[in-house]
Amino acid sequence: MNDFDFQMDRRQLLVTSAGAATLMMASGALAADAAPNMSNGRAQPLSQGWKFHRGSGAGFEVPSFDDSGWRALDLPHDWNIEDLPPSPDSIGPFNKNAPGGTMSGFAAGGEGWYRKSFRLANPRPGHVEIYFDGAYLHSDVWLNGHALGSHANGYTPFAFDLTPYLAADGHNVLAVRVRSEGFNARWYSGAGLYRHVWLDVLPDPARIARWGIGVITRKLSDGAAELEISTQVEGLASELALVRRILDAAGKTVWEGTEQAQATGHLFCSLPNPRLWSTDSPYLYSLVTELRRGTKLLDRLETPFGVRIISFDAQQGMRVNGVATKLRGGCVHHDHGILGAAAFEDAEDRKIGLLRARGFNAVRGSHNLFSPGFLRACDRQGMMVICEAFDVWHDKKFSDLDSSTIFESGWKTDLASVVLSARNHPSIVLWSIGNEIPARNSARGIELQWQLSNEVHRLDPTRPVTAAINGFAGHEVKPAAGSLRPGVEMVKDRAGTAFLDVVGYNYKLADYEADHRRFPDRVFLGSESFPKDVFKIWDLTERSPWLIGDFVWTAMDYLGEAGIGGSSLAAASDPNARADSPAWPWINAYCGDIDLIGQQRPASLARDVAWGVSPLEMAVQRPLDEGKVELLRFWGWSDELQSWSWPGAEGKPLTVRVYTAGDRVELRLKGQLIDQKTVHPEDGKTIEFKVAYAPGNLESVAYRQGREIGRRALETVGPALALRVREDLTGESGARRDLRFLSIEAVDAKGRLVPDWAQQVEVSVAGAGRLIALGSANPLAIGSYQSGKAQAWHGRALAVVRLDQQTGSASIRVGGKGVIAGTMRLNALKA
Amino acid sequence: MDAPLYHPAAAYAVPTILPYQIGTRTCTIGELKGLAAAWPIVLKHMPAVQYIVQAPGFEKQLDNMTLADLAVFSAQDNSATLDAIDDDLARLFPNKGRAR
Repeated sequence: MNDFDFQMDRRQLLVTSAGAATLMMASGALAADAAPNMSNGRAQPLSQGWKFHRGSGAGFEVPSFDDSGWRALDLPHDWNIEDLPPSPDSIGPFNKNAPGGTMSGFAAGGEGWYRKSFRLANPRPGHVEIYFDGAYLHSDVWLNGHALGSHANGYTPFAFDLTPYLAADGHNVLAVRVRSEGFNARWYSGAGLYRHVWLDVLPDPARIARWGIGVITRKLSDGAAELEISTQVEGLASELALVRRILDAAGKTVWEGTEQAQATGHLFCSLPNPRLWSTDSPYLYSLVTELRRGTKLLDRLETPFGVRIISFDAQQGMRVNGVATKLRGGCVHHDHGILGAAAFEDAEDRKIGLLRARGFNAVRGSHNLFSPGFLRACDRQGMMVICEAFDVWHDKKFSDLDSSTIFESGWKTDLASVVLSARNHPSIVLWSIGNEIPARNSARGIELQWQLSNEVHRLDPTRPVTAAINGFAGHEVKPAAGSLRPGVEMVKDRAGTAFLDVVGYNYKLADYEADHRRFPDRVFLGSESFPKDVFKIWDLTERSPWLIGDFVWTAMDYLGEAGIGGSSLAAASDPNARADSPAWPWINAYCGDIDLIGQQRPASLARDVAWGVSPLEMAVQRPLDEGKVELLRFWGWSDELQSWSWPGAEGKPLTVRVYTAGDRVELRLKGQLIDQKTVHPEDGKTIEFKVAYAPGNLESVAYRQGREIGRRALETVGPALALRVREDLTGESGARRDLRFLSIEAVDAKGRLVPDWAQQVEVSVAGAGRLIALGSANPLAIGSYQSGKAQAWHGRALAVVRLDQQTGSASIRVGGKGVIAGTMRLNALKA
Repeated sequence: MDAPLYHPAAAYAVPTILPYQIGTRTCTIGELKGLAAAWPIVLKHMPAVQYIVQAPGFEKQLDNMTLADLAVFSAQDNSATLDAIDDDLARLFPNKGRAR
């Protein structure tokens, strides 16, 4: 068989299609061939060996430009997380005069240039295309000095046809200018080529269209799944055949078929004894599609997919394969804290793993399309996704430079990119057309709601459309019959929600039940909610089929929107005191169940109890100064720690909060029962004790109907003696090839975390690895994330090491003043 | 079990806005502000609103929030105040508007 022509082997194809893209980067940028020889193949990684210059200049796109003085790096790359030149106004990567201020986390933005050389083994291929998973923000691309085009959406993928401009001698030079200027984001966006880049080299103009394959589960019955497979072919010529095979997770062919290729074709097939995709069992199949002329293979794509049917209605709620399911959700932004926005597959994988461990089964990608790696991690780990397209429509939200400037001219293209590129991910259960859209209730806003919903339905009729509505959902309206989807009969709805299939409300808990009574056929979800409402929300959600879930803001802390969480102190004597609004040098939102480096925050303890992950949790509010009260910010939580080490507070009454699913709680100090309380329904599973602080062991025990259901203890710890280093293996280990996440903890002589230790740690890496990030969850800008030195916070820090040799190893040393250094050896995983 | 399908609609038509009462939960702040007779009532009961609506960036919220929505972000429970405004507005605008 004349198969390859394509010189990608099975492992490479798996990497490409199943997403472990970073495998190809494990050999490291500096060791890689800066101008690799590219053979025929789809989606060949092009993330290695780029040159980068931060700043502007002339002639950078010219092939002969001497870029030897530029920095060599691998993608993904986010220059916003790299240190700025020393200045009184800068701390690490952050600048107090950054145009986005607190909103973008004082990230500086600016302009950057990338160059990349590559060779083609066959300098006259049929079709060559470069594909960017995403770049922030405005991107201009050149090949061999020819301008290929621009892209203005920072989150959608884009491609350019390189074929007409390929060099005759096979030596090609790409140049990419990326600009992120002014106040263009209201969260930390990152800057640059922060996602992966790929190259398609095809031997013939005939090819499978970009995003041209769709797999839909149409029916489950009698031990079989009826699938609909759609395929689009470009450059169609006669005598072309489409060969399709469905592989199970072990790579075994479970269905195959061949037919003559058409420009657009639909195929129905029956998959016997299918294993279904669900949050508990996220089983993935793969559709292999080959375009052939006789025995010659022209194109080949692998499309992972899941077999599942998800339905929604107000009477039965949401059902996944017929099983009633609530969306235990959290909103997330796309950054990875100390790594910035660089979309490392391992970091995406870890983020999802951290959330799964806390009981989340759904995320809302706020407020844009997330990276393919993120979606693959959700597919693999069984995390359902609301995939959101827009934060702004036609009317600006926060700045003259926000994406409203490109909306009217670009929404249709952008929406198609979102839906078509992501539609085969089984994890995506809803498309969101917008978040807190300004002017959505205006005449144009209502029309856009219809246009966007309808366009999504045209592109993908298998999933419902939602939007996140804050504030006023609009006056009651009666839509005309023809403007509603076939089969929908609506008496009335609100202007801002009339053309949605599922209505998302942000911070409108008080309206849920009233609006359900008003619109009983509506399916609702909480698209954003305050952390403090966790128990109220889940009490209502569990008993209301029409309310299919909730997404807390947020599941994980993030850079930007600095200081919207947490609390502040005010004079107890001031009845009008309000929580302050943090400013520079705050850089984190400081909200979220999980902190910036992956540790549980106190809100997460309450959620553990609300979702049954834990029967009992306990935390202690930091002692207040005399005459002060604590005021929570809207997305805040009390300054609680799982700590009974409060030197200086001896004898003072401390607030101990216990979250429990029990009906009675006992509290013991140094083995003596000091208090017990009954938990009433109106307590919202939260009980407070006042305890005079005395060092020792504080223990709570929860009971339900007289039976113990759980106990938690906090111990007074000794001084920090050593630094402990542990590898954080959260996530799907099968995807981890490149980055290693090392948790650093200051511990006492008994190995217990010293919870308020905040000294500097220094990390060194020897061998085949390098440190790419080191930092803590401190919400303030306190230094570099890349210097190898960082101040711990709450006794912890996180180091991220990139192994440069697939078969190598690295030795890690973590030191700090006055403590015993921690060490660790990392061995690369073999694929 | 058949998968539900969400097929596109035929054509857009402007929906008919049903009659509604002027009030703190049924109108946007922008609407109330635009009614010469209503706005003084709002300010009489909630004088701080005058300053909130003038805050930088708040103009984007005028048509996206009711007073009740705004009250969610207040430190105290404003439901009695909202009820009082609604009572006054109901006296001033006793009838619902017309469908449009």
